[in-house]
Amino acid sequence: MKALALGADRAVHLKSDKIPEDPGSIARALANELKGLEFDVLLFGKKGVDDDNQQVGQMVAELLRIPCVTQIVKLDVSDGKGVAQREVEGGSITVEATLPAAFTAEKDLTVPRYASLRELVAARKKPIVVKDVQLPMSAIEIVSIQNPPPRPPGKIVGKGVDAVPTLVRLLHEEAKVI
Amino acid sequence: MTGEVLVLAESSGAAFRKAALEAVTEGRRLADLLNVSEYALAIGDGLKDRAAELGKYGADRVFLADDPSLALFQPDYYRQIALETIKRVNPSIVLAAATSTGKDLAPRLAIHLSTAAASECTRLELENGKLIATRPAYAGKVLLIVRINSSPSIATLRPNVFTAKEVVPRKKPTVEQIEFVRPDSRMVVKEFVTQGAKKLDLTEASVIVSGGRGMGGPQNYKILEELAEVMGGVVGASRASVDAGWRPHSDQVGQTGRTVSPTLYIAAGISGAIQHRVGMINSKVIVAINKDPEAPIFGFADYGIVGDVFEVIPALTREMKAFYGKT
Repeated sequence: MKALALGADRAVHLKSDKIPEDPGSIARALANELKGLEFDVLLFGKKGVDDDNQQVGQMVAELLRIPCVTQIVKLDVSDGKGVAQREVEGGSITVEATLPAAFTAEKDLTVPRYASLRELVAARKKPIVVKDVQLPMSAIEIVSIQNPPPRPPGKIVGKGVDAVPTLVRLLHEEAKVI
Repeated sequence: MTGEVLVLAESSGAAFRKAALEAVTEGRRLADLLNVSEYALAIGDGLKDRAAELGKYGADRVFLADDPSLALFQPDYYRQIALETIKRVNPSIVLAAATSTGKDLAPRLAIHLSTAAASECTRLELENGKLIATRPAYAGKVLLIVRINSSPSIATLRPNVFTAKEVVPRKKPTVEQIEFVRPDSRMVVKEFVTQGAKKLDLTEASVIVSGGRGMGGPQNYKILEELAEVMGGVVGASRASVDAGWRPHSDQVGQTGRTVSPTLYIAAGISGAIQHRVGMINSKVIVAINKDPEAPIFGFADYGIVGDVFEVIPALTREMKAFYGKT
């Protein structure tokens, strides 16, 4: 609903028969749905904030055999091309992709705005098509879920600059990290 | 029959990334457990003289695709070379570093090979010859233990979690050049722009000095840069300071920024909100400097100093200079 209020004209909800554990099966379901559609730009977020897999966007693009530029912070589309800037270690790389192409967004690509009340109302009239999909078998499965090991309680070394020599000594002698 | 272990050894410039050496070391460990050989695949430009270095970390054999057009990561080129090598070697395990390149490439390979990739693993084990990977999810709040049921099992390894170790005696790997024929591609890699004079990326740095809202403004990061320089580290930032426009997004540590795991993380003027915590909680040692004794960061820092960052940081820089014998 929020996506429709922010500008999408129609929405499709692929309702899976089980909670997907394998990004590959999500990608296959999406690619299957997108196969018959005409589009220039396919936009994804770079990763889901649940599984943190960071895989689906480039997988869908591979299945559809279209270019995919991941982790982009800037995108210009013109003349059948998308010029994207992707954030990498130590800098950024500019990649030009012939459309149709997929891109996965890094946090700074745009600033999501708030939908106006009028848009929210209008969104309720826009169509949401719900389709049931059966996910293929997972190639990866979650065996168990654990809590991360707790960090042992730390200590306050002291107050202000007087504590600095002690801190350096502890980092050297106790923590052995310098 | 169990296949070999293949490691995609990523390079930057004409040198292997530290994270690549970590992956080769871990690949060696797994290969020994499976009693198979370890192969490495190096893709880049100007690596001819360096490829054999991977033997130091345990590679028995190195495949090398060396071409000027491979200097920067081009997904179509890299994927083709990796797929060809995988089809030829038929490995049971494929490892790569969880860098921007590794995380882009691994899923592409997985979908083509009808297998799966585990992202950002922090621990790998074998169970009946199958790869069991531990990987943080829900922004590090839980650890997922996943099993890959198809072959090859692909995993990307979070940088700085695994340790790069030389093997004794070092291997003298055979280096085999792969002929690279540029495939058709609808992507053109235009240019690489470096971010300032920064030598290391946050995800690869062993010391990070991060500043938050308590730094007061962009001009004050100079004192953090001085401390980072003395310690051979890099400067990071909290979301508050990035949102304020004081630092670029590439410096951001946290849920919507980078996930880092340095040996030493120094948080200056950072309160320690959950979204920051998840990006740095895997640091080996955390030091917090904050004037607010109630700041949440003191709840999970190993060492804390309650005080003004503008007094404590310069004092720490002087003390570190003395410690490292610099003047």
